[in-house]
Order: sequence, then C-alpha cells, then structure tokens
Amino acid sequence: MTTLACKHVGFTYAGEEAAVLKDVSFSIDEGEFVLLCGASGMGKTTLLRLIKRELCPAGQLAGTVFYGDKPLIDLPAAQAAAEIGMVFQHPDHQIVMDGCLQELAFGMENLGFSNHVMKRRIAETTAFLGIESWLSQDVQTLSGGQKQLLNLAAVLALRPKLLLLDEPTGMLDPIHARQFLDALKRINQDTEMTMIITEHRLEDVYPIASRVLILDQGSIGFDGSPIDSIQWMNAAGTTHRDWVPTVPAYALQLDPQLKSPPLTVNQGRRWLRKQINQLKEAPIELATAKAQVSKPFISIKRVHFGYHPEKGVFHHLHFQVSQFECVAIFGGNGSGKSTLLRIMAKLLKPKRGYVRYDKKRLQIGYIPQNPEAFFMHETVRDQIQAAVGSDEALLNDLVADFDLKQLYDRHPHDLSGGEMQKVALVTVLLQQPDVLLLDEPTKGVDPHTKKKMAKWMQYFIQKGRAIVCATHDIEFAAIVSTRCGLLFDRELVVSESPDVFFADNHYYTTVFARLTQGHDLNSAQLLKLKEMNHL
Amino acid sequence: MSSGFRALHPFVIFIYYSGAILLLLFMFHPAFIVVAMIVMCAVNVLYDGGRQLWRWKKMILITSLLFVGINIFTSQRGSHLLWQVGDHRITLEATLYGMMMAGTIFLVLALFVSYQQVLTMDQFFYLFARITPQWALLSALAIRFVPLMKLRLEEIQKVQHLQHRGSLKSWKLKIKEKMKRLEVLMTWSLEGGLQTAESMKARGYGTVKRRTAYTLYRWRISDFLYFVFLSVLFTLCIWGWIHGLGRLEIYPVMENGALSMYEWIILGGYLTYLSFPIYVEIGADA
Amino acid sequence: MDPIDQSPLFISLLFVGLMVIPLLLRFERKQLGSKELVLLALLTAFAAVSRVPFAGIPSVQPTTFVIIVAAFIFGAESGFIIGAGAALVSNIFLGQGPWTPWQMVSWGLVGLSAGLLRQPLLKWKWIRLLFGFIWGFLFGWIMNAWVFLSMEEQTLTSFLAVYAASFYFDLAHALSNVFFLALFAKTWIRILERFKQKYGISNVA
Ligand SMILES: Nc1ncnc2c1ncn2[C@@H]1O[C@H](COP(=O)(O)OP(=O)(O)OP(=O)(O)O)[C@@H](O)[C@H]1O
Ligand SMILES: Nc1ncnc2c1ncn2[C@@H]1O[C@H](COP(=O)(O)OP(=O)(O)OP(=O)(O)O)[C@@H](O)[C@H]1O
Ligand SMILES: [Mg+2]
Ligand SMILES: [Mg+2]
Repeated sequence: MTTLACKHVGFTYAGEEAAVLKDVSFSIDEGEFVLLCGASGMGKTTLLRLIKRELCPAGQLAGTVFYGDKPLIDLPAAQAAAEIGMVFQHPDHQIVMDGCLQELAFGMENLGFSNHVMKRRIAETTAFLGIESWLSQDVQTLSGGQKQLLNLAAVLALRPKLLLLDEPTGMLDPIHARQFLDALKRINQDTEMTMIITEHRLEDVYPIASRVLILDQGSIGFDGSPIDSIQWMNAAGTTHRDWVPTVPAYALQLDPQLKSPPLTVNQGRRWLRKQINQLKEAPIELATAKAQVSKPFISIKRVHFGYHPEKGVFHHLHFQVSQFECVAIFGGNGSGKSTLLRIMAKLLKPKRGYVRYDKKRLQIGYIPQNPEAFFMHETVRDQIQAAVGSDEALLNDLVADFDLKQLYDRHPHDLSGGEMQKVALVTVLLQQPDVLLLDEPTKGVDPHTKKKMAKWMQYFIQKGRAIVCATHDIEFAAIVSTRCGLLFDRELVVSESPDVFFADNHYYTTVFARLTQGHDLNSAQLLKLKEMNHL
Repeated sequence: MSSGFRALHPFVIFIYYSGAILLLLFMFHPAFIVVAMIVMCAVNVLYDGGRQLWRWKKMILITSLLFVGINIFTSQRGSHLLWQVGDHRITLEATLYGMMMAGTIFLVLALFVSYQQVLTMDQFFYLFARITPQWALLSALAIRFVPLMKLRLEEIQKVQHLQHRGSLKSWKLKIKEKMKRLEVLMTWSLEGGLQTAESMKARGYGTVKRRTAYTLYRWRISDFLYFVFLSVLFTLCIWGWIHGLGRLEIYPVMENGALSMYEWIILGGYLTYLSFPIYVEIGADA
Repeated sequence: MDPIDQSPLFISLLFVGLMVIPLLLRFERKQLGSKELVLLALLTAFAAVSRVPFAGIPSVQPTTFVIIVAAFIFGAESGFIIGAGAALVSNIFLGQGPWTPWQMVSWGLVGLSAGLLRQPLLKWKWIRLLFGFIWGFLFGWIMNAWVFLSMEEQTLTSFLAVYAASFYFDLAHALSNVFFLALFAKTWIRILERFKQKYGISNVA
C-alpha cells in the first residue's frame, strides 16, 4: 500500500527567485526504510518539511503531496499531527518542555489523550528505547545524543505511521549514532513503520536502508535499491562518486567491474579476504617520514576544570599543539570536547593548571559547535567581507571552491545546515589565525564538500599553522589529522599517529581499519589500499 | 528534596505563598515584621542554606537605607525627637516607619526567593494550564528561555571577543559591541525559538480544543487538611487586621509597642501560618 | 485611620491588578497560534535578558528600546504583554519586590503606547526619539509613585524630594533610549520584519 506520494512537487522560498525543488516525484510503500541523499543545500530538509504539513515553510508550492490516496492538505489536523512524525536536525529546537516526562507527554496532551493512555504509551516507548532511567531528569542536563533519543521517543509515543528523520545522528558520537540507528531498524522491522531519513555519514545507514532516493538539482536523480545506487553514484559525475560509502568504495577501486559490491564491514572483510592475494603483489616501498616537530603553539598543563563543583569535566589534563599539526579530538557526547576547545581559546579559565601560548598575540580562530553564535552580519557577503585581510586571492579561491557566490545575498540563518558550516569555515580561514579550533566542522556537510574542507585544512597547516578539531566524524578525521586524541573519564589520551590509533580501536575507528584489522597485510599493502580511499 | 513541603499538592503550595504575601503586606507592626523576618530567613536556610537569599545582600542593604533615609528626611511628624539637624527634626516615628517599610520589602523579596526554589515551572504550569492556558504557556516558555539566552549571550560574547581582541576603546564602540551581541542573540534565539514553535505545532498543539494534562499530582486528604488549616489561620489574621490588630498606630500618638492579649493570639496565628513550610518539612523528615 | 491607609504596598498591588486583569482576560480569550505565542515569550525573555550586558550601569539598559521596537512591529497588545512580562521575568534574576507590579505597568504602558502610535507617528525618526526621551522620564515617574506612596507622609515636599532624587537616573534612561533608538532602531526593525515574513507570523494585535 502506498503511504506517501509526491507528484511533481516544486518549491520556492518566499523572497527567493530560484526554486529549491523543481519537479520531485516518487511514491513510498508502507514499511519502507528510505534514505534520502543529496548535497548540502539540495533541499532535503525542505522536502521533509513539505511532507510534514505543519512545518511547511513560507513560499511557493507546486504539485501535490499525497498521503495514502488523499492529498495531504485534506488530512484532518489531529491525524496529520499524530500520523506523520518528524525528528529535527537540531535536537534543541525540538524540545518544548523542561522535564523529560513532560516533553514526552506534550504531544499527547495536545491531542487530548486520556491520562491512562498517556501513561501506558510513555511506559512502553521508554522501555523500548531503554531511557526510563532519565525520565525524571531536566532536559537541559541531557547530552546531545540523549536529547535526540528523547525527541524520537516523544514522536514515537504518538504512534506515527510515517517517520521523517532529518540528519538525526549529526551530533551523536559514533556509539550513540549506532544505537540510534539500531533503534530505528528495530522499530521499522517490528511495526512496519515507514521511515524517511536523510544522512551524510552513509556508512552506517546504508546497510539498513531498503531504498535510496538521491536529490539532484531539484528533482529525484536516482530512485532504487542501495546496491544499484552505488553503481549510479560510481558512474555519474565526479561529485557523486565521493558519496559512495567506504566499504563499497574500496571494492570498486580494486575492481571497477564489480556487480554487487559489499555494503557492510562484514561483507567487506569477506570480500577482502578473497582479494588478499592480488594485494600481496603490491610493491614494497615505505612512505617517507612525517613533518618536523617544533615548539608548541599552545600548551596545556595539569588542567582541572568543571562547570559545577561536584562534577568535574577534566582532571589533570595535559595537551599541546604545535605547528604543522592537525589534532582530532574524539569522545562521547558530553565528554568535554567543546569544553577543551573553549579552554584552549581561553574562553574558560581552568580551575587549576594553566594554558600557555607561545607568543603574546597568538591569533586564534574558533568555530563554536553552534555556528549561529559565530555569525555577526546580516548577509553572507558582509560576513565574509568583514573577515578578509589583505589576501584577496585567497578569498577568490575559497569562494570559488566552495561555491559561495550564490549564497552571498542570503541571511546566514537562512542557510541549510551544511552551508552554514561552509561559510563559517571560510570566514575563519580568511582571518588567517595561527591556530584554528573547530567544533564539529563537518556536521551536516555532504561528502563532496567535506573533501574540499579537508583539502583546505591540509593547506592551512602546511603553512605552519595548527588545527584542533573536535569531531564525531572519524572518516574525516582520519584524512585530515596528524594526531588523534580520545577524551575519556576526564582525561585525554593522545596517540602519536592516527594509524596507530585507529588500528587499535574497535569503535572509534575507521571503516578502513575495521576492514583490515586482523588480516595479514603488511604496511605497504595497507598503504596501497589506504591510498585508494576516495576522500 | 522531594518530600515535605515540596511534595504537597501544588495548589496548597501556591495558596501558602499567595496568603503569605498578603499577610506580609498587611501586618505592619514591628513585632510582626521581626517575627516574619526570622521565619522567612529560616525557610530560606531550610532550602538551600540561604545561599540564594544571600546573593541579594547588596540590594537589600541599599533599598533599606534608601527607604529609611527618604522617610527620615521627608517626614517630621511624631513626638519623639531623636536628633535635630538644623531645623529638621528626625523623629523616632519616622525612623521606625522607614525601617518597617524596609523590613516589608525584604520580606517580599525573601518570600519570592523561596517561592522560586519551591514551586517548579511544571507545577505552576499545571495549576494555571486549565484556568488560563495561554498565559500559563506564555510565562512557562518565557521563563524557560531566560537561562538559555543567558548562556547563549555568554557564548556570543566569547566568540566575538576572539574575533577582535582588545581593539575597542571608546565607550560608544563598547556600547555598539554590546548591542551587536544582543542583535546576534535576538536573531539566533528567535530563529531557534520559532523552530520550537513549529515543533509544538508539529506535535498537534492547538488541534484539539481541550488539552489534557498529564498529571503527576494527586490531591490527597492531607492536602485538603493543610488547605483548611491554612485558610483558618489566614482568616484569623485578616480578622484581626480588620480590627486593628497587627498594625502599629503611630499617629497622632504612638501606640505603646507592647502587644495586647488579642495581638498575641494574632501573632501566634501569623507565626504558625508563615512557618508552615518549616514544620511540614521537619515533620516529613522525622 | 482606615485599614487600607496603612498598607500602601497592598494598594499598589490592587491598583496594578485592576489595570492588568482586564488585559489578561482579553489576551486569554484570543486563540493564538503557536508561533505567535512563542514569539511573544521569546521577545519577553529577550527584553529581560537584554539588561544583562548593561548590568553595571544604572538606568542604562536597552529593555525599553527592545519593547518599543517590538511593539512597533507587532502591535499595542503584544507591546503591553512583552513589557509587562519583561519586568516580571527580569526580576526573577534581579529581585522580585513590591516594585515588580509597578515596573510591569510602566513597561507595559511603554509597549502599549508604542503600539498605538506606531502607524503614523513613530514612523518619523524624530518623533521616535522624542517618544523614547519622554518615556525615559515617564517610566521613572511611575516608578517614583510607588516610593512616594510607600512613604508615610505624602506632602508636596516629599513628592518633590523623590522626583528630584530620581532626576539624574531618569535623564540617563531617557538619553540612553534616544541613543539606542537613533543608532539601532532601523536595523532591529529590519530584523524583526524579516522574522515576521520568514515565519509568516500574523499580527497579534
Ligand atoms: N528560509 C529560507 N529562505 C531562503 N532560502 C532558504 C531558506 N531555507 C533554506 N533555504 C535555501 O534552500 C536550499 C535548500 O535548503 P535545505 O535546508 O532544504 O537543504 P538540505 O538539503 O537540507 O541541506 P543540508 O544537507 O546542508 O541540511 C538551500 O540553498 C538554502 O540556502
Ligand atoms: N555551560 C555549561 N554549564 C554547565 N555544564 C555544562 C556547560 N556546557 C557543558 N556542560 C557539561 O559539561 C560536560 C561536557 O560538555 P561538552 O559540551 O564539552 O561535551 P562535548 O564532548 O562537546 O559533547 P558533544 O559531543 O555532545 O558536543 C557535559 O556533561 C555537559 O553537560
Ligand atoms: Mg538539512
Ligand atoms: Mg560539543
């Protein structure tokens, strides 16, 4: 049975000339798990908002969205609210109430459910997601990942038939992201709930999606099974090639003719075992040594810090960052990554210990986790112009590479999530600071743009500067970083080279490492395989 | 602490505070005010060791001085002369009046400080959601946004500070910078807040005429008894007040400050009413 | 002496109650959409928080300015609600006291009048500045009223004493209003207009 159908849907935002969506048509059956992909700013969020009727933005809508066999507009308000649920890109914006329990009940109260029904549904939903233990907590004390789960629970309590998820794992650490996706998968299998999810980190979603829609230039560029979508991406222009998830990407690099490439790590390892012999013929030739080490820009010694006296965030922290370095900081939600960056920028004062800069006027560039705090101007143009020093050439290069010209007249808050990150990064790069502190720079950013970000960040450190980057995006960190650190139990464990770091971990590790761990490959063979990484 | 006073039905808590504020405003007698000051301090100490109240020390001091001062210098009535400055008489009556006024203001402040710690937003919302749903939601939201905005303001300030470190000198530029901060805060908060509004709508806010409430608060017999108890005490005090008890007549001739037997009774009722949280709390612990 | 005479603080409460309750009821009867409701709450909280960066300087705070600008865009009734609410909310962190109701009235009236006069008058910059200037004093005078009422002797001299004492504060308030309105009104009005359009917000009143 068809749950949702879009017929020639188009949309133009109020006050804009160009349409975001031009001609989108597709139909989805009950129980499907649909992955919606597309570059940043292609209109994924917009499309989902058109489907969730109450969130339809102001603008010009063309075509019709059908829910079941009726147009969506004819659906009674209460039914539309209950049967179509949406989890937002930004967890904070979705939460209305103060307490978790109140938040869960909010939707049901609105629809006039009886107390008895509410209680039962809350009990059931929370037990299913395993979140009973923090029901009595205040919402503000939850970490980003917990907030996201709470949002999911609040929506599920209304028993939606169609669930829309807008980059729900964007802010989650790898382990929570997995948990979240696992919960989705279970719900999808147990209840035949239809789901549409947008994501940029495709590695974990691909194996559970039953269908892939790719949004391209305002209409559906591809519609089919995950396996076929990989063929399509690989064949289409260079931009989409960057989209192929890591496991199939390696497989296709080694064997471009491959008909059905492996999708999961498990399949990938089995496939790799068969290829080992072919790899073994690789020339044995080791990479040259790494860049020189010099005096640290910023050194942190014996730092203790906590927001509340009872609850410390850091305990005896040591860390330093030098020229030519890009350090990636990992850690679970709430482990203190953002706090570390703030301490390094001297925005927070450590309780004990010190933060020392190597010169008095060390220039620091900092992008906070919420780039909204970063935008001081009313248009993207002003924002960027205000940052330009003397280097007009750099400006032109950056603007051309990131395709920013078309966004020049927009208000920074009107940008899509990924576009915001782009503009913020360009702004700090233009300021040319000595040290760049980036807080989750790749959330909501598509693979193609990520590749460009990585390129510019590498270029930046090659000029004798340094970057510290808090991130959940391990694949990205594996490319740009020269060192990695993991925050755990109020301490930071830094390892010298990312390869060592990843080779040793099970969860905080790249797909590549997961593919190759335990296989009998020497370093040169690994190197060859690694260089194939498309990113 | 989820037992004791805070565990009562929110209606009882609310009634206590409403009655208390009226009594504090009405009873205008040094003995009553002193008693109330001791009780209110005790109530505050009970909840957080008086930490919140202590934060207001400077403000309390300034307001008190202001009130005593203004009154002394503008009023010359009264027969008990304390001091004579030129041809200005400083009288005992004027001083006393000023101090009583200052005391009352302190009491109101202290009452609200404890109120903010005891009655949670949910309870407030629960109480008023049925009578004035719109106002209840409006105030609940507004109060919820305040700490969020303060946090964001701090964040904006820090980020802005990094972007141009120490280059601002003149006051005009400083104010401009502060206003820029507020501007960014406004844009950011409105943007996020309106998305919250959309989230409310997305989850059916306003689709059904009568919202239900997911209640956590049960009206027990004890709540009813407490309610009756408070009402009786309140009525007693007000009855006394109407008959001129609990007020110090200063003019034309200052009344003798000593209390009559009736006044002692009223004072007892007043004390019992105000210290309600204390013995409920202690009773629950025992 | 009448009992009532002896409870000046109660009188002020009563007075404010009589002023505010009709407006409360009027507002309650309106079926507001969620966006309008949240917007009012946001602007209320924002007007209150805007006192924070200027906490060190007495009488200089942009709250009055924020209320005027908000009322200018969203109308008289919204203006009243935002003004009254801002007083209530800001005193949660600045101290509730008998002055709270009076502040609610003063700021409520700032918003109400700005909303009523917005159409022809406040469009002109000079009138806007004059309006801010006048309200700087008016605000102080209303607030003086409660100090005056709570004194034991309400004579002309005590009246003048209170008003003279507050003159510099009121002047500072008035001048800062003018300053904020002159420099920032245009930008802020533009920002609020943008929200009104982007989220399709209808006029509250
Ligand atoms: N309110 C608005 N007014 C004008 N343009 C807008 C508005 N909101 C979004 N846009 C533009 O519409 C386009 C599509 O935005 P949308 O948020 O749907 O992208 P997206 O595919 O979700 O991107 P991302 O992956 O970065 O989240 C973007 O170019 C964005 O700048
Ligand atoms: N302003 C604040 N006031 C009080 N506590 C805070 C504040 N900011 C963060 N915390 C707490 O400090 C801890 C570390 O938070 P932080 O934001 O640094 O984590 P994070 O590693 O960046 O998490 P995420 O991956 O979710 O961004 C968390 O427990 C958080 O609840
Ligand atoms: Mg999006
Ligand atoms: Mg963080």
